[in-house]
Amino acid sequence: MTFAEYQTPAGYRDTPFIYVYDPNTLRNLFPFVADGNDQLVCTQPVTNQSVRLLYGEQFILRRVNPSFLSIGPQLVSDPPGGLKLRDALNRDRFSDPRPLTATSFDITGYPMNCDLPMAPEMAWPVNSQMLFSLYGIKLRFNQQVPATDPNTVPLSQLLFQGVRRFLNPAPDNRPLQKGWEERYYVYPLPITIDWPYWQGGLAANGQSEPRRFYVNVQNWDFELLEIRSYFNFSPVICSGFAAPECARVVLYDWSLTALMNAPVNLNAINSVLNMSPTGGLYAPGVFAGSGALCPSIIYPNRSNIAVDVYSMLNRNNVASHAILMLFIGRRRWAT
Amino acid sequence: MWNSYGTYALNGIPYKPPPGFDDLSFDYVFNLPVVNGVALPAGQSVTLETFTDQGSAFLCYGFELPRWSDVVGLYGYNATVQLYVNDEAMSIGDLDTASAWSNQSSPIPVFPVRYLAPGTLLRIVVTSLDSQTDYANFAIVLRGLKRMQKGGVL
Repeated sequence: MTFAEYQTPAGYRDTPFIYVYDPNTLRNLFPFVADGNDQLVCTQPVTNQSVRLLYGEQFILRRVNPSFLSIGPQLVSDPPGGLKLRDALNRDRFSDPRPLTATSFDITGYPMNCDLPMAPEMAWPVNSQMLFSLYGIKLRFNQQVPATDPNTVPLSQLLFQGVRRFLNPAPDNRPLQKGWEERYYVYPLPITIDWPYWQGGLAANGQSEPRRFYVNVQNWDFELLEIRSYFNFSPVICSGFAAPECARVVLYDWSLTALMNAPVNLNAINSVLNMSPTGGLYAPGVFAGSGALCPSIIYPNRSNIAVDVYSMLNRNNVASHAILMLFIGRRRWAT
Repeated sequence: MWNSYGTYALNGIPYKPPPGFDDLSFDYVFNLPVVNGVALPAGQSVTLETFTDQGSAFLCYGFELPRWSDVVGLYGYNATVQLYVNDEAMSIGDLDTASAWSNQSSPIPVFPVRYLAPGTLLRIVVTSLDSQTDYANFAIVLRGLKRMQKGGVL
């Protein structure tokens, strides 16, 4: 096998896309118990779950990413467990449930995100749904308050990262033209989060509205390749995590079409290179969600790179937190 | 700059199976349950056997050896693992406890890819070298793909 440029079939347009499955909704349907570590463990298998595709386009799954979510036997007394994934023809893709973990540690002991690459990719036709079962779940929370407190902030997500394939190419998706060259460029977007996940910090008030931030693309078309987010570890955001989570985002393309069907943990779309053992006031978001932005996204001149930002802060840590999002890519220069 | 088009674990590669065939990603997962809270003691072995699918070849490109702890989730274990393919040994011996090798995102590579014909007898012999008992189960995962003749496959 050799590396080569990603190629979209003729007559189609691809955009990166993430389907989100929210396991927190299971708390209304299945019994959960606190594990003594401010996390909740489901005591029953959760079978026959699905995520239905948005109307009208194919989806090609490239990665399954359990973000702040453990799937597997949670206690020594538990039977073997994990994720069972079926394809569009309802065939099992694993012979047995396979355990998945949210994090592991690299050789230096530094935490890194663990996602499950599907190779070759799995394709779902138009209007189908992704089918799966979960045997053994552990949900994680912003740990400033006990997990059983209704005002805590749920962090767990099961993310299906892939490609949404549209029929008919859009004019902006053209390949690089002759006579043009690409040059490295970065658009920084500073964000300040000073509002809590729940309005007033209380779940009874409902979830806070997102706030939109954007940066204007100037002078030349811009090909976005990578997102790195640096955030402020002080004051503490979530105790107990080497890589805390303070925000979820929805990223939009140039036409303000969302590239995910629900807000996604910011760590899950960070670059895999965004890892550093330096720590300090500003440290990289160390959970890396590689591959979230493949294929790249092209923003024409004078369009906006927009993100909706959802706070993940609970009522105990709403002091102002700074995030610096870097949109890294290439400008297309006429030569 | 990183490769902007390909991603890090085989995705992004314009993958093309041989003419007349379709490939499906597939994992053979072997779970070794811990009985009454007692894991496989150090020095002891367990043997697992299965036949691969009769209708498709299996190409194995990776290998995972996770164990599950209710404290830290998945991580690796010390074991000697021998894989027999139709009684031919393909030994993978004395694996390290490096956690990064024992989760879903970074399998131990099997290179070159091992081709298993339809209906191959797979036998895995695991000999534990690890005395820790705080795990909920062991698992052995063979990552790979099923190669099927074309027809009705997405």
